[in-house]
Amino acid sequence: MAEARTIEQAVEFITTEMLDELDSVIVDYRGTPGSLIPLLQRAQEICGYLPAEIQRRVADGLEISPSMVYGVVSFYSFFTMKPRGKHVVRVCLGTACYVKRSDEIMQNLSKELKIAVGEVTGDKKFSLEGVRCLGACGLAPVAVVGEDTYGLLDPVTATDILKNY
Amino acid sequence: MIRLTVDDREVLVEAGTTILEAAATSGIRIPTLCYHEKLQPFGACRICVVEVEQMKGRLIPSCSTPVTEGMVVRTRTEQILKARRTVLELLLIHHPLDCPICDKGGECQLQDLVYEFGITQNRFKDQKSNHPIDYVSPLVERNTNRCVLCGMCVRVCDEVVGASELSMVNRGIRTKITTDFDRPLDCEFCGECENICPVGALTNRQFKFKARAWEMQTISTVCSFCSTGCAIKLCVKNGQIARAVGEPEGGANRGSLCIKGRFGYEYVMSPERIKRPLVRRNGKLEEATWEEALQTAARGFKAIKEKDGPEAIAGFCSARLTNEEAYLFQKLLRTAMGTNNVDNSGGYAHRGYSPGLRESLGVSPAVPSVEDLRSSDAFLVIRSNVSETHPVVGYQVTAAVKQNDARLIVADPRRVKLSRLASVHLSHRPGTEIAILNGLARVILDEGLEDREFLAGSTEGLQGLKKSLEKYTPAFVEQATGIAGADLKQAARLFASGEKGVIIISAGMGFGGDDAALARCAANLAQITGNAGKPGAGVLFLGEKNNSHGVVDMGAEPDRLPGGQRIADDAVRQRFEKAWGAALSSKPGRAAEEILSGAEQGSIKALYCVGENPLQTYPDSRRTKKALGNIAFLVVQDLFLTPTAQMAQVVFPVTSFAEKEGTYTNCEHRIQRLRKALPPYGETKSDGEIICAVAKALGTDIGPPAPEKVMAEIAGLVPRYREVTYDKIPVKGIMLDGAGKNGNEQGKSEALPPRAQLIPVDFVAPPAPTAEYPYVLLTGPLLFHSGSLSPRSKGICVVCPEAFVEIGHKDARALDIKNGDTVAVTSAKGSITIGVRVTAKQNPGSVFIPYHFAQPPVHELTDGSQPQVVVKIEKRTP
Ligand code: SF4
Ligand code: SF4
Ligand code: SF4
Ligand code: FES
Ligand code: FES
Repeated sequence: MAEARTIEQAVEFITTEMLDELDSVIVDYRGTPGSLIPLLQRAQEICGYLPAEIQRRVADGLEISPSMVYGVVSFYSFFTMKPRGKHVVRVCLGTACYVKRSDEIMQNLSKELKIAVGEVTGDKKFSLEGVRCLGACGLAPVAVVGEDTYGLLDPVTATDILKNY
Repeated sequence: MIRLTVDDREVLVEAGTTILEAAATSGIRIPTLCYHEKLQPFGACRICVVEVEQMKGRLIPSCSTPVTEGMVVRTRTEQILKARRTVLELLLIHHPLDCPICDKGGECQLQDLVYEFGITQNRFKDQKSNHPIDYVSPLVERNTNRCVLCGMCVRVCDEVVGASELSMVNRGIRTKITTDFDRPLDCEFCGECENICPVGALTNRQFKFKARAWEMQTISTVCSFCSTGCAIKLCVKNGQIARAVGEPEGGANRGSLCIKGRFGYEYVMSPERIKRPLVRRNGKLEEATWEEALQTAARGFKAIKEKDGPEAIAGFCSARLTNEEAYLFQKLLRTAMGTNNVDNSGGYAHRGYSPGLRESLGVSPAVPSVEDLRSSDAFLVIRSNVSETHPVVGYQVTAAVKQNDARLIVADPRRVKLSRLASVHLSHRPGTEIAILNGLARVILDEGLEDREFLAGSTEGLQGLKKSLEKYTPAFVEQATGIAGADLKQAARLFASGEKGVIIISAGMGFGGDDAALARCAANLAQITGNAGKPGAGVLFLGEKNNSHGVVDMGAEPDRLPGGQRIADDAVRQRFEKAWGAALSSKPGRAAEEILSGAEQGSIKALYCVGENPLQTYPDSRRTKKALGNIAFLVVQDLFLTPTAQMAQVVFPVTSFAEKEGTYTNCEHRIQRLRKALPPYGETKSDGEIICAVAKALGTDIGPPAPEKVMAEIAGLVPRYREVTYDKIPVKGIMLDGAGKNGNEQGKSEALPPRAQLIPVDFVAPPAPTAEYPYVLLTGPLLFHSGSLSPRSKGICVVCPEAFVEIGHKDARALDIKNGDTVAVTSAKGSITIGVRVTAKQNPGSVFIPYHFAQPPVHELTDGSQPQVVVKIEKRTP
């Protein structure tokens, strides 16, 4: 059942163009030892995330078992099995940021975007995630949108950063 | 050699040995939780830590650290014991400690270690782990809460079984063992993971709440399915088999099993078994006493012998009989009945294979042992889906490839499990194996990759062979088989580059083709590459059933007496006449095929069918039915009232493998003993007892059925069994020929004849698809089943209940067929209706139907005189 649902989601978020591109990429990696992680990275670049259907496709393509693929995907934090928006909003929940009320920033962003942590907005523009210390504690509290870092945020006005996108 | 001291004892071991193994050689036990001799070291649990003087300041995992010269190792200091206790305490934080209801209780390594180290309380506390338990997967129950993350299940499934069904997922404290997205298992259901799990995280569902480990009586015997001959332990409680486990001492399997060996024994306890003899009265089969049944059988055979002569009588025996029973059976036919019309199912399935190999490599060709396969470095697997027909042999190939980087070439028209691991997969047109083997031989000779020394010193016929190979250019082979020249060349180079190459071929009703020719071809290739007569190299031919090899050795063949000795040879025959005190006919008898055609034409009038069910398992079942219908007097001996038994005049009920004694000879020519685990079911008797009783009723004494007596007689008459003493056969069995003496598994070069023969073989194209019948039908075995016996086992049928036809994606699209649709499959012989599985395994142009099931009868489609048939497919469901 769980699988059926993810595939439905996949249909929603993953286009046939993406699948075609993925298939052609898989061919390049086939037969090369150690190709699973780089291929999964490419797959995530193409599809945005790695749901069951994409993992199966990679497994079939490399003729390895889907369990092995899942083991790797679930081990590395840079892989995600949930769909992501065009812009990923990450709020630091590390200690330094937390004491500076980054949890409130998270709540406000969640309210503003009308999604819970880990979800994607209906227009697929934003998704919201919590992260561990980003190594910028001097700027705490910190949030990141895509590649852009925003520091010294005020919990109340933090939602303004979304306006840049 | 490396010298070290372990707990003040001096130890001398080979380089590359680990500390753990070195300690074991001097009897020092170090506890482990994640180490297994079959797997590569993992070093995860840290219970095996030791101190090494040269590596002061830290504790060293002994399972994954190799010894070095002069090492001083201590295994039980106070510090080590403290560390081990801490490891156990950490493991117990999340563990539920539900031992009273855990099926591993009493044989759980965690329980034992906690007991050993006297852990009575835990310094650490946290919530108990609370993962959902998988009660959905068949045969294996998964309760990750009890898991100690030793990773052995994941590794055995990957490194040995080759299924890679399980994985360690997530990371850190959330790590657990599961499948992708926590789905239920969809795998081979071999149970190897459950068996290796040191705790109760993976358990055997068939065994659930059946018994505690210490309540069972354990009997070492042999699996009753394929010719790998895995040794199994039947664990019995209250007269019922509670479970089967692999026997670690087993010579071929070293404790491994496949689904059939582990879960397939249930047919033994099936309520459908026949309990009492049956005799046909007024057209109906009715229960009778043994006396009445035996007399009826004797009267029937006698009447036909007197009226139509002994040549009108024939016997089929199953390749599941023990050696002793097969021997008694042919002796009965040849002496009491006076005919050589005796054959075994193997005769039908792979007739010619043994003669083929004999001609090339001598009477008892040296075969690589199953155990040695792990040390082989090149495999050619051809006309053999070995992972399904002989799964434990498949494990050895998988382990050789995964653990030792052996080269693997798979020639198979379908995408099979091993083709995923292969360096080269030759996906050829069905039935063209001989062209491939010839093509490979030619490339090797052309490129000068042959073993010249071996060819010159040990073989004959190279010039003739070279000449015959002239036409097998890569271009010709490509045209005949569909294999691209480049792939053929790559395969040839790869195989020739191995030091120890093995060619694996399986037999079974589903593999059509001329076996003698294929055998010779394989023998040619083995000789050209020098892969004959050395350990871990040669041709490994895998008979379908547990005693396929034994029944041939025992003379259940029309033209050969026990030991492959020709009946037409006067000296041989006289020796047997003297031993048996009876005159023997010098005329070779009829083979299975000829017996059926004789029945069809009316020259065979009586048939004694022991353990065989031709109606279901032989090709062209309509014709078989007609032939059997013509037989005036049919006697069947079986566990079940099979379709063939239903046609009989007399049916004798037999005991199963678990209820009797005797020996089997497996594919590597290892002879092993059955040991009785259960009393006979109902009034059943063993095949041997019945055969002797029939002889007696006919007024002939063929000796007592006791296996030790029969084996003594066999040892006196069959050269390769001469050293076998029944009572002395150990659990690991004895290798026949040369190596038999100390049971060592090394190669048997003395079995090679002075000169092996290179015999040219020409390729004959198989029947090609036509416009009317556009698909080639492949029939064959499935991993989950063996012969027609396993469908009687409940557990196996949960996993694989029914027959289907496999059709490739492309053909399915063209036919507008989806998974689960019903189709009619029709050949020139007949037509059946069957469900469809659309699969990537199948190439366009051919379809596959497994042959284990009574319904639908796939042999309505096949043709006894053709290696394969062509069919058409029509969609039935809307
Ligand atoms: S039953 Fe066999 S194939 Fe299935 S997960 Fe366990 S080891 Fe792997
Ligand atoms: S399930 Fe068993 S074998 Fe597998 S990791 Fe856990 S404890 Fe080890
Ligand atoms: S069926 Fe064959 S491989 Fe499987 S356990 Fe039995 S003997 Fe071994
Ligand atoms: S805690 Fe947020 S950046 Fe370090
Ligand atoms: S047995 Fe050595 S680390 Fe587990």
